[in-house]
Amino acid sequence: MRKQLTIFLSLSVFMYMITGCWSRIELNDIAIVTAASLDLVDDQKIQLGVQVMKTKMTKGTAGKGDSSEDTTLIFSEQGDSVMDAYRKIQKKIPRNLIFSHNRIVIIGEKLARSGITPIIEFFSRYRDVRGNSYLLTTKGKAYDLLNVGPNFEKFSAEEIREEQKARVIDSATIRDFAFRLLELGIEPITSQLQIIPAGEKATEPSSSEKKNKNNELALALVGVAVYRKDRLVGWMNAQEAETLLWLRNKMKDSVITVMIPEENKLFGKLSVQLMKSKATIKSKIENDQVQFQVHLEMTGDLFENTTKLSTNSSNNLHTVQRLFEDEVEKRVRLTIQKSKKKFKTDIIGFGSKVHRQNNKVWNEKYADRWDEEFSNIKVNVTTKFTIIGTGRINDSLIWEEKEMKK
Amino acid sequence: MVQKIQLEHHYDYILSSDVSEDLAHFKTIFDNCIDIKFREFVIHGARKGALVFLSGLVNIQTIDFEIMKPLVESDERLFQDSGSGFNDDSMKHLIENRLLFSSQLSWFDEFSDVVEHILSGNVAFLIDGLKQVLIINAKHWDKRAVDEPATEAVIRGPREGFQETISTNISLIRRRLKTPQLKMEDMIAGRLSNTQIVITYLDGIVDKKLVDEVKKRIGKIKIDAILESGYVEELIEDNSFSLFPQVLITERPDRVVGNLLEGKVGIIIDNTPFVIIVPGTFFQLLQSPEDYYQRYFIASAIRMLRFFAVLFSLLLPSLYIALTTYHQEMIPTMLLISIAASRETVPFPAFIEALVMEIAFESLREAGVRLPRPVGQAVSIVGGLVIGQAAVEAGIVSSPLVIVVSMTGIASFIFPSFQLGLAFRLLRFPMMVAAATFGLYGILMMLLLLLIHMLRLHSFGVPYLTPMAPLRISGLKDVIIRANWPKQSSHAEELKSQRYHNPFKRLRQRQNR
Repeated sequence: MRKQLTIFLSLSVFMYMITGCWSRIELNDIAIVTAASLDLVDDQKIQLGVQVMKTKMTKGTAGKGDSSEDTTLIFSEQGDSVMDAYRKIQKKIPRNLIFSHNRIVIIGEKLARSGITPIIEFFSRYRDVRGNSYLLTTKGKAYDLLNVGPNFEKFSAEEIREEQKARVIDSATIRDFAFRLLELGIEPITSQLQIIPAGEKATEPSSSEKKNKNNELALALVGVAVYRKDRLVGWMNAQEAETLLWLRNKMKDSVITVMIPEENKLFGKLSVQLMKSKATIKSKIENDQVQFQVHLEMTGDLFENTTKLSTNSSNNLHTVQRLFEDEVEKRVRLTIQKSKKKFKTDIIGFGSKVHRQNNKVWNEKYADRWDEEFSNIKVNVTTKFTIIGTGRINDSLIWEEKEMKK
Repeated sequence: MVQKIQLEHHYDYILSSDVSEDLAHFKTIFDNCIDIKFREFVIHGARKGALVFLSGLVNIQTIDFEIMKPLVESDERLFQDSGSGFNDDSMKHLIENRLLFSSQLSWFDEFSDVVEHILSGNVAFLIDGLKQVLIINAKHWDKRAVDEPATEAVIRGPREGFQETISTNISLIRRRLKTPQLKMEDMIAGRLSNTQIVITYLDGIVDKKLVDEVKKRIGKIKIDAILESGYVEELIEDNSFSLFPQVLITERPDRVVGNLLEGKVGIIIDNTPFVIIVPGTFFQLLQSPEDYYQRYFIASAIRMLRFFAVLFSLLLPSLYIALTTYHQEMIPTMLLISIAASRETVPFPAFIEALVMEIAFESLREAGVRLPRPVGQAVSIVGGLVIGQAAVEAGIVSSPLVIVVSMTGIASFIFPSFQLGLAFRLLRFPMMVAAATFGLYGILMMLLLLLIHMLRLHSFGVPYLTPMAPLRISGLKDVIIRANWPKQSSHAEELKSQRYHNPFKRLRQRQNR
């Protein structure tokens, strides 16, 4: 028994030595990649930019690193493939790049329009990379975005990740994107990341101003990029991106504001914070034509009221609720309309609903030509809005209490 | 040992009825022993008598006033009463019943027995005309007072600890179990030391086979002297090549009694405050007697804390090495950046760094144990604060590692059993080597090896990991948690059910091999 054990152990030990594949690497020899950018440059080459942590600058409270200096370094290289560019960067720096802590992958517009399958391929195949890095698209060159310094965190990519996690607008990780790319009847999206001035006075940045990276510039998520298959087809703004979250039941934190128009003497604005939002999309086949019933049920908390409307009476609340129902319905309709008519891309996933709910019809009729059919589908939207709280005060402090008269 | 063989022929001496002849023999045997005393006298003019004793081990007061005085002063009429037929039997009767005020008297025929008794502090009384020798107990020597046990302090619980005198230790146990079921059996081991060993158990609860096995193993001990219970432990344990202690060592009488109630056997050894309890299991070594005195919720929580401490003290440095050198992706990014930043100036690989710090810590600890108490504190201050702080500031070690090493140190102090703590202290180092060569895979392999070893260990027929492996659900009430008393069934039943059908079968097989 003891002999057998000894043989087994020594074999298992030596087996791992003869492979020659020893992955041991000290922390002093790694460069942590926190963000990557990908652009298409001339000659159909891919430009890979990486943002790398400069660890000695992040001493933290010890205060040994000069705080005015950058915490990250940026390297960039062009290559025929992502791997090619990556190896070229690796040759330039003395440390091993590790992608396992990569937060975001930013894709430039040009590359996005030409198709990003090769990128997804690399980031799915390379085992260092995590599937939960966020994929982002930007108008213009993605590389420029790496240069924007962080305002709160140690590096800007972490800020983006935090923003994405807050789910203010629809987002996609590399894994999500790949899944949606492969799933039938749904097209992928990513968030749209742009450089914006952080304060009011900041002027429009020029890409040459790399050195001037103080807090005047910031990265912000401004909307979503709409893809058909792996090609970028257009952009949606922040409000539409938010609506997409409602439709995909991913809403976490949303605010809706409605206005009572000026003609009405009660005029003013009302804002609610959404507490819960549940969207159900049902497909049914009628007269050989697929129809969708979208129903949204939302509950919200009233946060702001500048109208002359008293929230004391349930009558008024009903009115307000109806206002919100109309607003939500309008926004959902607009978003669906835009994806139907403007992009002809099913980013909400109506097709996948048919696929699941009417499998037979899907296979017979739509499986191959959903792209064309999508722009002709009929969607019926209904909403139900409930206000569950009106905050600490009842009536608006600004106005005298008055009943709304119609 | 050589000496003893030379004396062997003196032991063969058969006691005669002549006091001076016997005394001559005692004098040969105790040649060059300044502490032996011979006192010859005449029992009230009637007969010759002599006392033989070791001066350091007896109470001189007792000898003077309770043995000598009545014998020398005794009324002449006592002897006259017996008439002319004053024979040996009436002499014995007279001494036992009229003269000596000692409760512990016994007659011996064998010369060697008498010598043994003299050596263990009894007084031998030789009487002319009688072949037998009277042994009188007048033992007395300086001893430590019953004190609080230093190694097993408790917040709540009795403060009495064993000390070096076996009779005191026996009394400490007896005071807690006032039942004739508590048995104490006497054995002697050690060719020169002739150390008294008392095997104690609760009749009716203990498995008789266990008692027999303990007696058998102790009977087999062949050693010149037993200075501490560690000698016995090593000689009777099942696997002396294991790092793990397979018996329970305690200084606390309440702990011994608690274990006797569970059907275990206690081995009390003269001249040491450490009592052995067998069989010892792993989980029992992780228990403190205080677990039973505190409220059971708190005791359960503390027990769980101990399990974490076991894992910490075994794995923390190796996990640090494995994660930072192989599995950087497993560390949360922000933490990784912090660690990487503080490691930036460190010139050594993580393994060397950890090894150096661990060795430094172990040295400090060892130094603290050996040094006198006031100096020991200075050492820990110098070591902990100055070296730790200075090493980090000089950039020789990283501060996360200092945290890891100190957490490991704290965790290893949580062990209620010092012996088990030592085992884990040592195991930490192979673990670190495994982590440095194979990462988490190496740690896993080492853990498996350790587990296999522990599963193979037995202590007096009881599997070491009882009741986890073999799993006894009912036994778990007193392992990770401490269930309240009404929920716990009789401990002895538990122990019995934990045992194999024939616990010593394995053992016999091994001996036959």
